[in-house]
Amino acid sequence: MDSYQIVMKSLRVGRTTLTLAGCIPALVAINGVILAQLLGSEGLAVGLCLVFVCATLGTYVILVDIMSRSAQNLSALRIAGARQASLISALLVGILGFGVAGAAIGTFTGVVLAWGVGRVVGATLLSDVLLVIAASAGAITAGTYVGVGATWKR
Amino acid sequence: MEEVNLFRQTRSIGPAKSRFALEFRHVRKAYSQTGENEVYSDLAFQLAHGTFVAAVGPIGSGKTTMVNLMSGLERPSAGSVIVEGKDITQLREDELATFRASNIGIVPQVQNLIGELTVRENVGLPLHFLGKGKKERVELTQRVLERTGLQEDESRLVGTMSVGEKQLVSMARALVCDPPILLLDEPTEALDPLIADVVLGILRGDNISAGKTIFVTTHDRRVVDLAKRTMRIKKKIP
Repeated sequence: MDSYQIVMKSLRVGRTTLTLAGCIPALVAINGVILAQLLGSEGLAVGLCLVFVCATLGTYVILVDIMSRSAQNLSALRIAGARQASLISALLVGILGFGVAGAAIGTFTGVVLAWGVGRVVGATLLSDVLLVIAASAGAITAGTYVGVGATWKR
Repeated sequence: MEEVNLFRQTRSIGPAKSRFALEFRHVRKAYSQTGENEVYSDLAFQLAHGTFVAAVGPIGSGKTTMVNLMSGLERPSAGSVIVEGKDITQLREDELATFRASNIGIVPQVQNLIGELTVRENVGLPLHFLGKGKKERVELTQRVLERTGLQEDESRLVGTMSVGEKQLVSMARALVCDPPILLLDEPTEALDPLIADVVLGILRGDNISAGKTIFVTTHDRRVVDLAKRTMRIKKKIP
């Protein structure tokens, strides 16, 4: 078993948690992309802020919950020599994939919905989509870093 | 496929050369900032390399606190704790974790294993954090499983094991990195005589043939008899 899988298993991060980690950026990305498509560059800026803040907060809350529920296992990991950086990297490997996949699905859904409304003004659709996914990935990384950091420090 | 290890160390925090394996310099430990609940006011001692010390004392005298201070799991309110020549009170949390993983094997009083992992996974855990490759992890884990007689239980989930069996797993995990220092907090408490004998045999072997420094807190007469020195800790009368 790989090192990151051991940490994920130790912290009881299963499919349910990973699905939740994917759903949050997906839901926020839908709103972000619709804003970007309907309102142009101003909408994109607001949408990206929305995506970043909400996905960071969502990931942070999930991480704090994971670490709090697994406090005893966390203590065992600490005794075994775990470092904050090793936990963050292990959790990121697990969560980031689901988060980015969720954000991609969310942006696609957002584009479809915006086109359904028919008032699309977003000129650079591809760059909008990539920006939203990048904002989600950044937010998940930030949320993981802050979440693990907040619970790791004694 | 080549395995990518996420936890590879970027820099080593190895031991410095020192006359002593462990040293307390004017250590004060209190559990409140006002100085109440003071466990130690000015504790100073040294443990030479390869020594085997049994610390005895009544419940609440601070034996577990001493083990936690030695391992850096708790920081002193004042003073220094020097392990293998390195002042661990000056290390950052992550540096301390790395130092601890390679230099100190800990068998805590309260079971500190992960119930969701198998015996093999629990034992091999420190090797992951030291950035050892898969082949080395498998070899070192196998070696220590054989030594502790746990090889037949290697696939069992630790959550399904008895207290005594868990203690052996804890022991195996402490030994897997072959650290120069072993800290054990009442390792034979709640063990049946058979498993206690296995633990004592491992301690004897590690101290005599491997030259490890061993510090053990205990109420067990057999452990005290096995040790080269005894440290008596008196309970502070408030």
